[in-house]
Parts: sequence; structure tokens; C-alpha cells
Amino acid sequence: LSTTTDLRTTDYPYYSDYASLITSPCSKLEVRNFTKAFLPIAYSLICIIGLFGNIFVVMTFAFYERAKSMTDVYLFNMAIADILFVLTLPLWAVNYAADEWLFGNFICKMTRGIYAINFSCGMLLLAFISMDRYIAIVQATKSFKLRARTLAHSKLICLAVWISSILISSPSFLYNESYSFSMNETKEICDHRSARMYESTMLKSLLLWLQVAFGFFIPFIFMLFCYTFIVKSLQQAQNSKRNKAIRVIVLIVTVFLACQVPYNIVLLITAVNMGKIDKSCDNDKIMAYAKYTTEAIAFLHCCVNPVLYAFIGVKFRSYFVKLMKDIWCKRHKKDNKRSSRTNSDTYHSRQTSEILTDNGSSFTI
Amino acid sequence: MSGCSSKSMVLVSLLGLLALLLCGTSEAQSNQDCCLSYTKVRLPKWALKGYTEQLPSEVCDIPAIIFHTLNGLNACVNPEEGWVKKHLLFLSHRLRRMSA
Repeated sequence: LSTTTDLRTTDYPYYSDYASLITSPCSKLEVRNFTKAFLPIAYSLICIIGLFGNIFVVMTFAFYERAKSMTDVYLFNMAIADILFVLTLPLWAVNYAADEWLFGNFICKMTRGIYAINFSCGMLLLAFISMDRYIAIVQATKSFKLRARTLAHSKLICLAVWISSILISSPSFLYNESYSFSMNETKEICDHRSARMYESTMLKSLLLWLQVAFGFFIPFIFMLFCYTFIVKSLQQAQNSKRNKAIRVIVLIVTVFLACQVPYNIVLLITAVNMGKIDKSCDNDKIMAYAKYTTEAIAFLHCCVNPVLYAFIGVKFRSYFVKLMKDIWCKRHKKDNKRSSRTNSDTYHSRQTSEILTDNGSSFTI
Repeated sequence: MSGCSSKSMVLVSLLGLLALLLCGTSEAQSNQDCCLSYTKVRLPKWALKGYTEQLPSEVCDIPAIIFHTLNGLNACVNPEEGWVKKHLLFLSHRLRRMSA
């Protein structure tokens, strides 16, 4: 008995100091307040803008009968992937507003999975688009046969892109779950959860590394390679529209970098620090703020894609305007159709400036 | 040229395959409260009310035990340390006794 009282008396003086000696869980209440206010608004805006832009792209490509270039096919698929993704954003907006996952395990897996599918699919398609343009412009003399051949297999290529994106995203279906998380309060969250306990830190950081590699570096290397050669060969060509083409390319690459680089830097820093002990709470909070902000910017990319790739194109824009006219005044539909045929005829005739006109509707120039 | 493009196709599909084996998108950071480091001092048994486990296979990074003290503090401790294991045993015994 005396020993226990001893313990108490020896411990007690320290006990009042325990509050300062104890390491408490890092409270991210202020981050949650931020995500509660900022993300529902940001996600709703991205959802609305992205939905409109991409639906217009899909409509224009679906309703307009004309020779489609491979880039058009890729853009069509990218718009569909973007629509799918943007449709999951309201669920996330509600999740952050309520600070709880309310939709159950199946929808949790689906939304995480669709996000991953859109991500890999979009990035693959951006890489393919830059490759298609590279073939069209730099390899213009040999490109006709090759492009005709790839166009013939366009459905197969797109199917391959979708299947590989679904397969790549399968860990997202596997490793995300809706489960109750208790720290200061118990609530349902939709997040990473794997069965093997001790490899999980490594698994999580590996997933992050691969996300950065696959979602950023690979498409970036493709774009860098292809667009560098495109700009080089455009500089050699004497064409009045050349400068505009170069400007469009610079714009595409700049927007890609502006949207993706900040988020991927945050992901990289997180991957490097994953599993380290004695991280400071302040730094962790800053990283959380940075993650949510840069992620929203990265999501913005799928609203900008239709503008960048489709609406900047003169031909696409004119087709779009025609489509709108078709919808508004159905009486003149026949006239418009006739004019569209003559359009696609001139489109097929390859002239001296073939490198620029051949490249299809989507690529301005 | 067709050689080059098929080469890049092969490259893309290979990278896709590599990623397929391991990849996926995961949460980098979250807005949940997590233990980031461990308490350096030992806590007395009698000051403890209960505990929660933090698993690295879930949203937080590192494995930890969170001891809830009687005066409402939460202490992150290292589950690998001997005294933590003993305290956990003590707490689970007490919980069993209470439920019995």
C-alpha cells in the first residue's frame, strides 16, 4: 500500500506537468473547418463548369457526321472520363460539408475508383493526343497511312485505354473502404484501408509514388518530347498560322503544368515523409491545407480540357456553333448538313499546308 | 515511323502493366486527427481511462496507441514499448472485468 501511495506522490508532481509532456494527436480541426467551407464550393463550381464544357464536347462530337481525327476520338473519350469524374464531386462536396462519409461502402469504393480511372485515363489520353499531333506534324510525310491505320483501330485503342485505366485503378477499389474512425469523436470515413498492417506504410507511399509517376511524369515526358519536336518543325515551316500554333502548344503545356505540378509536389513530399515519426503538427496541417488546395486546382484541369483542346480549335468551334444553330432552328438543318459535307471534302484534300490543316478540327492552327 | 509509334505503344502498355501491379491513387493527406509522434514520458496506470488504436493500414501513417487519461487528455504512445504493452494488458483486463 505504501508503495502505491509512494508512486502516487512521486508521480503526482509530474502529473500536473503531463499536459505539457504528453504528445496528443495532431488536431486538424482548423483544416476541417477550412475544407468544410472551401471544398463544397470549389467542387460544386468545378462540377458545374466541367459538366457543361464536357457535355458540349460530347454533343458536338456525337452529332456531327464528319471525318474524325484520332485526336478527336481521344478528346471524346477524355470528355466522357471527365464527366464521369465530375459527377462524383457532389458526393465529395457533401462528405467535406458533413465531415463524414454518408454513402456507404459501395459508393465509397466506386467514387474512389472512378476518380482513379479518370486520372489515369485522362493522363493516358493527353499523352496519346500529343503523340497523334507529333505524328501528324513532325512525321507529316509518312503520317497519312499510319494515321489512317490508327484511326481504323480507334475503337480498339480506346477500349485498351479504358481497360488499362480500370485495371490500373483496381487498387483504389481494393484499398478504399468506408469505416468508422475514432479519435476524439467516432465517425464514418471513406479512406485508405488495407489488411496487412506492417507493410501498409510502404504500400501507401508506393501508391503515392506510382500516382505521381503514372499521373504526372509519364504524360509529361510524352508531352515534352512530342511538343518540343512539333514546335521545332513548326519553326522551320513558313506559315502564317505558325505562331498561333506554337502559342496554343505553349498554352496547353503551361496549363497542364500549372494544374498538375503543385499537386504532384505535395504528393511527392507526402510520399517522402510517409511513415516518419516526429513530424511536426504545424507542418502536417500546412501540408493538409496545401493538399486540398492544390488538389482542387488539379481537378480544375478537367474543366479546362474542353476549352483547351476543343474550343480553341477553329473547326471545332465552327462545328459547335453550327450544332447550336441546328438545335435552335431545326428548319435550316438540311442546309447546314450540306455545307458540312463540302467542309469535310476540303478537309480531306491535302494541300501544301497539309501539316497544319490535316491536323484536324481540334488543333487550331 | 510505324516502328517508333509501336515502340511507344509498347512502352506505354509496359508502364501500364507495371502500374497495374501496384498502382492506384491514395489519400496523401487527410483532415483527420492523427498521432504524429510518441509521448516520451511514462504514464501512470491509474491515470488511464481507456485506449484507442491507430493503425497504419488506415488513414493515419504510423502505428500508435492513444491512452485516454482520467482528466480528458489523449496521449499518443509507442505500441512497441514494454510499459505500453503492460498498460494495455492492464486496461483490457479491467475492461473485461467491467463487462463481466
